[in-house]
Amino acid sequence: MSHNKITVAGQQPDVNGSITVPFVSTDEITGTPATDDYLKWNGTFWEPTANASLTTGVGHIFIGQGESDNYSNSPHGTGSFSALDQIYFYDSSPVNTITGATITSSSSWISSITLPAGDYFINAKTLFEFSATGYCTYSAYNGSTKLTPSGVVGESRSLYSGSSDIAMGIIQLASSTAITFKIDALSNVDTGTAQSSTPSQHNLIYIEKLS
Amino acid sequence: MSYKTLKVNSTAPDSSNNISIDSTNLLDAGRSAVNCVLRKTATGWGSNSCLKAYSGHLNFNEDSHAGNTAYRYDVGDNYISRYAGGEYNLQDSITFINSSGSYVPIGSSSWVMGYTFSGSAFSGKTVILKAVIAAIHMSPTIDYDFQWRLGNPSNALNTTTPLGPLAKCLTQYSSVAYGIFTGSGSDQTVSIRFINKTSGSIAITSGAIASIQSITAKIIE
Repeated sequence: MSHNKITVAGQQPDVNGSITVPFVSTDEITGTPATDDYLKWNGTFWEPTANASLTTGVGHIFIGQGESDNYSNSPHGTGSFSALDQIYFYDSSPVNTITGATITSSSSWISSITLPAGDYFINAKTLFEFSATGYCTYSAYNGSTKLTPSGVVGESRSLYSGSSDIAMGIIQLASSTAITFKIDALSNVDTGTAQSSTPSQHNLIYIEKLS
Repeated sequence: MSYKTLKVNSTAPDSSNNISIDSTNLLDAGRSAVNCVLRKTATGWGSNSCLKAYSGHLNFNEDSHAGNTAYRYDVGDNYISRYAGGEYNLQDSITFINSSGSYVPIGSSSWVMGYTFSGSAFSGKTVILKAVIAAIHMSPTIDYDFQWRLGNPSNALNTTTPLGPLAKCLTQYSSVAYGIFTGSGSDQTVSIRFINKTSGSIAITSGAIASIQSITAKIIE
């Protein structure tokens, strides 16, 4: 009578029948850890990581490199603007280090950002061309729900008594949420065609992951 | 004769009689994502992200609220903002100081003139403050500077210390005021104060102008 030998994680029993299994098997590790290294999961393997480089910064999204592309190429197209129109942001290679966050775009024009549950610090700005003295206020939205205070651009901001072009605020999301940016109110914002590359060269979204 | 089925960490042998055990079987929380590190927990081993994450502690978030432009600011005054209607949606370990005394346009228990950061909650923590304020220009030419200050808002400006640079506000434009401080271990009070002003009047926020007001505080270190 013969018995199959049991192995655990590929390890056979020794002569005493003892099986020694490492805490992390060697085929799960890429490279050779040095003293004081940590093991960081890189998506495929545990990767030895030096203590000094362990902290990988704040999870963030950074959109806006000053690139030039006509706004008429965005999903907005060539037409006029109205309140609650969505604003598109141009970036051919946006930075996203927030685990679980996704950026939705077409031809590098970003339409929405989906963030997992958590707290975030939102900063966003853009710039528009105007057909006459005017203004445009905008902010972050979840559907029709406004999420942040407004940023304002234009030469006729006195209605808002002096204001910054940055729409910024802390948002708290209970579940995965798609964030868009929309126009709150406007006056004399020129057409999509007339925007030329002004928005793409000035637009910015910086999102910082908080707790 | 019978044999017991051998399992290791609840994993039974496969058809080759191998029991596949890897670190995932040993972690309490699993390795959920890239950048997670192996870390000892109170009860075993876990895998947590090594990306930094800082807490938010203060946030104003309201589009419109009541106010009366009859109340005007002087140089040295504290900027006041309404809070009694839930205009702030985040107030973590921070106590509001009601508008009162000599350095506000109007005393009111519905408006805040300063923020007291808990000594215990912020001990040794570095806090970044940001503000875009919504004081109303009562004439088109007026401009003013404002600044985050550390100190009792009930006392004169010269008893407080700056926490960052001046921010300029014109009729058509406003800079963002930044401030930074490190928690001392004792309660610390900060406020936004008017430093300079050209001739003319500026009034407290009223109505939809509140939509551009942003006041935030968060730990960064």
